[in-house]
Amino acid sequence: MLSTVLFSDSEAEWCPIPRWAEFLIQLGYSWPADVTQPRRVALISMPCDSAAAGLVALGAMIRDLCDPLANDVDGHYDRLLRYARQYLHACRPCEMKCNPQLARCGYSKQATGLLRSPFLPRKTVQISDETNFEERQIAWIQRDGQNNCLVRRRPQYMTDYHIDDEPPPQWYTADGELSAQLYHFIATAPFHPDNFRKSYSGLCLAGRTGGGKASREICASMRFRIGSGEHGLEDLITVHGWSDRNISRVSFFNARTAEFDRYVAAPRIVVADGDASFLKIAGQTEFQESNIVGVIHRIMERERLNALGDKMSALRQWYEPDEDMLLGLPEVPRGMSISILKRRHN
Amino acid sequence: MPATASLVFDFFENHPSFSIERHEIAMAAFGVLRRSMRSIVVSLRDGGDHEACETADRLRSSLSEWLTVPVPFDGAILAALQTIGSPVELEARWGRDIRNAFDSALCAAQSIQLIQNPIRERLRAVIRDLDVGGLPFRIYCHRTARAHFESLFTKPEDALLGEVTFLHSVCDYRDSDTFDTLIKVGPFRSWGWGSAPDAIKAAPRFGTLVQIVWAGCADEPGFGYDPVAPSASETTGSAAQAADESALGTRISWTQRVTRFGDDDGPTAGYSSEDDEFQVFGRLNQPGQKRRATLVQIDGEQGILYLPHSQVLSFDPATGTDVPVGHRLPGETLLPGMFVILPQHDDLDLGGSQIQAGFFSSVWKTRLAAEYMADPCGLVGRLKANGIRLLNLHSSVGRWSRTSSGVLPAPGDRCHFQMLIQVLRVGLDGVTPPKHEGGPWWQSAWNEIRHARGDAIQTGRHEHQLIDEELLGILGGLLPAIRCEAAATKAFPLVIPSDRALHGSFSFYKILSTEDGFLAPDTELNAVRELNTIYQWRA
Repeated sequence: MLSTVLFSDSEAEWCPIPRWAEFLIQLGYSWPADVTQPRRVALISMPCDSAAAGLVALGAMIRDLCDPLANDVDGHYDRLLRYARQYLHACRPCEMKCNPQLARCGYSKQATGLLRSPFLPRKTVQISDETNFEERQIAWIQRDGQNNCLVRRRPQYMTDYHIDDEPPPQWYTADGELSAQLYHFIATAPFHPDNFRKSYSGLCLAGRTGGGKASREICASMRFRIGSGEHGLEDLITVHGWSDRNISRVSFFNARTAEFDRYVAAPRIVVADGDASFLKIAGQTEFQESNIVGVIHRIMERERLNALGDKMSALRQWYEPDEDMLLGLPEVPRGMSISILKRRHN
Repeated sequence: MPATASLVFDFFENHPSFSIERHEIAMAAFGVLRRSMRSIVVSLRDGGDHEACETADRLRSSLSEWLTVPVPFDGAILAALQTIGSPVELEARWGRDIRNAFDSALCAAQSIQLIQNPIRERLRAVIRDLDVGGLPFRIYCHRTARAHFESLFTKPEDALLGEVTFLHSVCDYRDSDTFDTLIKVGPFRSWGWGSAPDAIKAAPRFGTLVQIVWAGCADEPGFGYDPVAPSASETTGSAAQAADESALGTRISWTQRVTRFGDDDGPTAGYSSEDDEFQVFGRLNQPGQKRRATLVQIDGEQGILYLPHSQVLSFDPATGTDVPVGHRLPGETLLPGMFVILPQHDDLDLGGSQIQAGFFSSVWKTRLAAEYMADPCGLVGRLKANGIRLLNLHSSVGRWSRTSSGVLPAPGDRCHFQMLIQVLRVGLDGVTPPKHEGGPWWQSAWNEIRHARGDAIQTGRHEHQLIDEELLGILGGLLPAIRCEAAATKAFPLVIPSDRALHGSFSFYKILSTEDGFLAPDTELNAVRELNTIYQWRA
């Protein structure tokens, strides 16, 4: 960990990054990224409430910044097509405005059919019936004063457009890029420079059951002094809407409303903040292939502790302790404990 | 100010081991009182009738309190015993053995009035020592027990407890900073009387735990549970905890020192687990007809018991909250500082269930009404003889024979219905509806009842949902008034505006605390009750 980075927890004095925080960042960073690896479920028990989940997400985000495949650009057009299909075939005719959980329609979020472009920041365009799914051609209606015109674009140029209320897949100008300097927590991290201007949804932070605001506040209580600037953890992990960053490298699942912040396929890793969030994620079908890292504090009622214990016991029917990964970790700070299970080979 | 994560981890680094100083107190007269009461409770619970169980619950509750709270030995103990009746009455109701045990308990209660409660003396000595040493300490106790701690130092020269911080709940403990010593009276249990957070042992914020406890009251096995407890070699004291072989970390290490005070040469020398009231009562107090409940305390005197997964209508006064009025889970999303909302309203006329009289019901109900009118006692006698053993069978038959309300009411049990049809001898005349597909007549009639019940339940659910939506709409419109009242007072009513479909009012109660660990019957749930009444349901 670089000594030039200073740390402050809940407005305490600045100090070098403490070992417990370093451990959590390192854990996120060293989490196996290879998709061929068996699914893993980890539970970290903390002796107090903290933004530990945010730190694990930060570590995993740094690792993703080094992965040339970790971006939303490559599958962007397919995603827009799926979104258009959902809008035209399911959401537009649907009478329930709109809760996919209640409608049980199988979608995680409502599709409004609106697209936005960084080049037209004050406008949205509406996906049109003229969209041809067989020819993979999205069409939309663009207003120009009093006139409406139908627009079709080639797929390769569609990275200019993104789903409304979501981060763009990439940013074209230098002012919207993330600064590599902010993420030099791991000295040896081999960053892939393109990633600093591309969004990514494969890493997900599942927030507290108190909602997005509670999750954001606890992350904001942890601050880093990097060079001459100060940054809250909520800013560094670039959850969409938590800061004024243009791109987002961590998607957010609101455990209270069970909604994603974006139209997203199953994330590769979910970091769950709190017991209720962990239990919700572990039982949600959308995440059944995702790696899960649950972070809890153990100052809670026995019933809630039992629910977690029962969940881990139930998982052991199909999972086994991941001794290789546990033994590869640095020494666990006193007061913290961690259990990692990996899916058994059939 | 809660301790930051860095402070807590630093604290752990500086404390390789934590210590428990267990002070076990014994006292002959109090031992007699305990044994006598325990034997009465066990006998009454074995006896089984409702009144006996209620009396046993009251005695169990009182004894549990005396074992976990530093109560003064004054007339209150004797008075609590006398509330269940006189020795003569007890003998008349439950026999000689109970009377003998009760006599012993009364005698012991009278004799201890002349003595100081040794738990209080020990507690006073411990607190004085900590104060002299300048060591910061906290006391963990239930909110209602606080007065008994404060009464230890009533003299001006002993004005110590003004500076003491009490911890009453998991939230209090979570929000506390680090300190030197935690004091706890009574055994460690995860719920019910003497309950405390497992985190006291799984995530200590203090170096020394002083536990003052009556002899024989053992801690609950496995207290200090951590679902990710590592199976490290450093285990003492809490070795009974389940270790997780897949977990990595350093288990919290405790060293325990037990000091015994006082003497009790009662009939059983020393105590075994058989004599531990909490284990004995735990076995007696199995859930049975009761359900687990969470207490939401709304002031110093009153509270409401909710099922743990109830969706409680509530208001969150915090500014900036996304959903100020909504349904929340007690203890999880319904937290101290928020307001419970209890609506009182007239019925909303939604048209009711459209259950029409069916073909079969019109036949059997007409026959039942005719036979009941002709010879009520004879009919009821025949039904009883055929095996329908219901209390108030007369009134049940009266209800079942009503044809004006459609298919229902009808017997709730399939066997009872079959017997009823056999007694009435209906369906033997060959008259069947056009779509009757064969099978016994009573079976088709029973299917008609089942369908009607399904409709009625569905209608009830639908109505409940509509009322709920209407209430939320009304509360949304009243938000400015609610905020204004909530800022000024802890409990207030609000009348539903007259232009709404529902008529009535809301009662708002500010939540003081929430507490798990109750086993209560359905009749005690979701209603405001005196805390003294509620505490008898503490497990």
